[in-house]
Amino acid sequence: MNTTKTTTIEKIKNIMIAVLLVTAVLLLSFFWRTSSIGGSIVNISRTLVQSDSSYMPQTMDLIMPEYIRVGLGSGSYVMCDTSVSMDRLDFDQGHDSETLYTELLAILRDYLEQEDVTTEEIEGEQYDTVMSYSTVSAVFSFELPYAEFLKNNGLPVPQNGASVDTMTRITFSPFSSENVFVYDGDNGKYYRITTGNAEFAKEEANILSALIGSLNAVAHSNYYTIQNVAGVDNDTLIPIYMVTGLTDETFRPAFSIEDSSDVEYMENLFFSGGMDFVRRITENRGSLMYVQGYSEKVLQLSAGGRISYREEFDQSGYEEQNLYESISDAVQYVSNHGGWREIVSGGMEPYLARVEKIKAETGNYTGYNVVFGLKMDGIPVEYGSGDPISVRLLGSQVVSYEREIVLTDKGESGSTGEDNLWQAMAPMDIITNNYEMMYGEMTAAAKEANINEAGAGGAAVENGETAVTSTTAAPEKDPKNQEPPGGAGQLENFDYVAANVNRVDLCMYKGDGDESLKPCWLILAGDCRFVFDAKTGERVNTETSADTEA
Amino acid sequence: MDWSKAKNIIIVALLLMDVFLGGMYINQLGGNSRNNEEVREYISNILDERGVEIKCDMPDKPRSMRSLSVRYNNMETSDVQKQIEAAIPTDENHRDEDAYRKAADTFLNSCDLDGKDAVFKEIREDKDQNRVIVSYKNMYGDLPLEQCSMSVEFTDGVITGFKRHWMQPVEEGSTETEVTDPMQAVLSLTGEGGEADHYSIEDITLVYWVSPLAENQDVLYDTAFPAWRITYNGGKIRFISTIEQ
Amino acid sequence: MRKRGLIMIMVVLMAMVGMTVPAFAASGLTDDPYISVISPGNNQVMTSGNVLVSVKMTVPRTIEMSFYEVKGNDEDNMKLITSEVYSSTKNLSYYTRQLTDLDTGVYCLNISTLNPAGESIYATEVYIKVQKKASSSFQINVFNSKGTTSSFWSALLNRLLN
Repeated sequence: MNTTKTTTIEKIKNIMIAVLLVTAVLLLSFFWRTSSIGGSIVNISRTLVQSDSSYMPQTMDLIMPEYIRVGLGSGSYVMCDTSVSMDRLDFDQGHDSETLYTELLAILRDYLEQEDVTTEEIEGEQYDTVMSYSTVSAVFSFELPYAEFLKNNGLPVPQNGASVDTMTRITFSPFSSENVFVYDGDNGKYYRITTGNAEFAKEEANILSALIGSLNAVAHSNYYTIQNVAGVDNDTLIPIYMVTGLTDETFRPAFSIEDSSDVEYMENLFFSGGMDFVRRITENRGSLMYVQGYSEKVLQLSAGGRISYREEFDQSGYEEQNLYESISDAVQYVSNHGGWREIVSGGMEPYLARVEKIKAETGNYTGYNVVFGLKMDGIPVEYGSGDPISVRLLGSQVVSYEREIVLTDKGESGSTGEDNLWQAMAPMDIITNNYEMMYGEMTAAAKEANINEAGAGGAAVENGETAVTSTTAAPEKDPKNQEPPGGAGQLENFDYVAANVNRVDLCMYKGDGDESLKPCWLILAGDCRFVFDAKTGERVNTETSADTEA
Repeated sequence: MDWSKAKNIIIVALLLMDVFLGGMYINQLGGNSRNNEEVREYISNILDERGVEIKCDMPDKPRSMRSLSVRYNNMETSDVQKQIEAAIPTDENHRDEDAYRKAADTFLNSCDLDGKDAVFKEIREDKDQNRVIVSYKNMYGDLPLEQCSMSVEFTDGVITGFKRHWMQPVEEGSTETEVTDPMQAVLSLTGEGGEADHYSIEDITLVYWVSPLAENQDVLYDTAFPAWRITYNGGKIRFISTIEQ
Repeated sequence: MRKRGLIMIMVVLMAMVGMTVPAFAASGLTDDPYISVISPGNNQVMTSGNVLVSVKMTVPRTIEMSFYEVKGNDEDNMKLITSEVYSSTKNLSYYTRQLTDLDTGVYCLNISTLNPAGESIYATEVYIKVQKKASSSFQINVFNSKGTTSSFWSALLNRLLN
């Protein structure tokens, strides 16, 4: 009897345990579902596992000149990439520098550490006289606060003499070796930093001459101004020939909308609070859009691999930042939203392409648009539309982020492109072959720009009149230049195009829908962008509006 | 090991935990209920001060709801045209509301569009132009799915037009989120920067709502969130999302 | 005596003028109206041993570019450095060529237009001087007291005060 009773009690206990356990689980699951903590824990842990902040470039490593320009005198130049390895050059002055740019910084340090250094503003004509002899210049594509630049590079700031506000270009000349020249592009001013140490200056003259000679020896092309080549008033540099080892390079996008883990990763990155309040829209062409709230946060993932994120500006948290702080914030943001490592392992080299000041639509809130570009073997990668990475900050808040990274196998192959050199089509030939087309698009773009300006209260444009305000007017007709038979006005059209070219660069071009990067000539003229195959000279792009500044 | 004693301990522990969790649950429900009453009263006072007139009953709100994935489902124009041409005209002698509704239902059936989500909404008649429009609304369970509409247009008893902006529910979201009180939605509508000086609230209904997209956006899937559809000032309609974010 | 002196001076002057007459003036060829030598400019002085030759053609043309070093005053002392024939079938084209590592001296660039038989029908000549400088022995002297902004103002101030 007792045994039967005991067994019954044990069975009841078992049933009670089971029921209480199920009840507990049900109650716990209820709290887990309705609590945001559970979701956040999952999201945070995913983000921690997947975020790539383990590799992050130093801000100063990204703030580099766009290129190093070497003047050989008599209007001849060679262009060098900033990251040219010093091992490649027949030059050694004991600085142990790895790259050409760090060598220039070391030379600058030598100057600034002299005891009697003074800074003085000079005339443009004096500067031009120096530039007509051989020089070596670090040319930036944006204006840098001069004192900050020196401090961040561990260089002493000269205390005596004039105060330089911003810096666009630093130049050394063996023919004026007691000076270092600084050009302030923002204010259009020129300076020289002078040492009174004649012995030092004499040594530097020899050093700079040797450096220029070694850079000239490894150059693949010589550049001259368009004025020297074509006879029109334009000091934009154009290579008269180009020997290169670049080849077509297949690529793959770093982000794929087809990969659900990629998509989930992006969702967690940008909506760390969870996807419950986020509206998810799938467009017919395959792209995804996420909207939180009343467009407080919007994320777009395109089928082509572009990630676009926008966030509403929160004025309450605004605090003004300087350029370096903004760049640093941008670098950190990229590190936390996609990372840098895949760029480098994908055969690309990120660099700071440009920095533009921006302002909020309302209120006195300022910030910067920080744009990072990609280079492959020192050659910039140009996209058909958009930039590889751009971060817009107002104060310290990122209000817009765009990212589209392409990866190649170049990083793994280790090839340098120096093995099979070939001669690209000369860009001047490309311009002479296509100037009528370029003229047509440039004048149409200029007319549209004037119409838009007129709509915003600018000057009206008469019917049929091409009011070109943003470009240089066609130069006066040279009386010696006879018009070709049957070609009335052709020369004027060419002169107009040539006078308004403001950039000629060899690049690796990624057109919309392409599967490989192609070596191309990028020519910016007026408000238009033209891309031509470097081998055949055929045009490869259809859009005309320039994304970048001159 | 004395399993019997161990079971006793486990039972006591689970009982305590269940009592604790159950207490929290009940407290939350009760708290929500008390909070809701207090919030309504507070908001009601503010609305009175603003001179807002409420002519309808305030519906009860569910404690929480999930989001809803939807798929846009519009027909090809050529397919619609074929069905319109093939439709049989209504009998001349029996052109009443029932006949039009039946004809519209038949038309939808021929287009395979008469699923359980399409519910008859209204018939509007324009006697001057001899036009009759039969409209349908989209329902997900008990809740309307806005902004969906389907209308069959008759002219002189013949189907002459068909308009459809429709979404099909796909699946609900994984998490339930708390739904705001309808009084809060009215407060939001009539708040600072509102479009009218005086508000007269005629109806307030809980719906699933997808905010309209740009016209050039070609969308396949979207997300509907619970919202309060407020009808005010003689038929004007606004949707206020219920999700507190 | 005075008369003889004057005649001597005139002969010397005429000889000097004669020396400057281009050696090819005797050919009598004129400039091609459809060709312009953009670079180098006539009588241009180069500070380095690089010279850009850029010739603009506004009709289809065959040209011959010849580059000479001028060692003396007559044809025998014109040493040919390089020569190249270039043809274009376009209504607008540029012939560009960079000449490098030239020593200090005087040079003559001749651009001749060739007919289908290969004969010169037009010719343009440009003389340049290469005056290479070494940074060890030459430094730009453009920053004297007259040159710089601050020294201008300090000079003005001095003048006003004194």
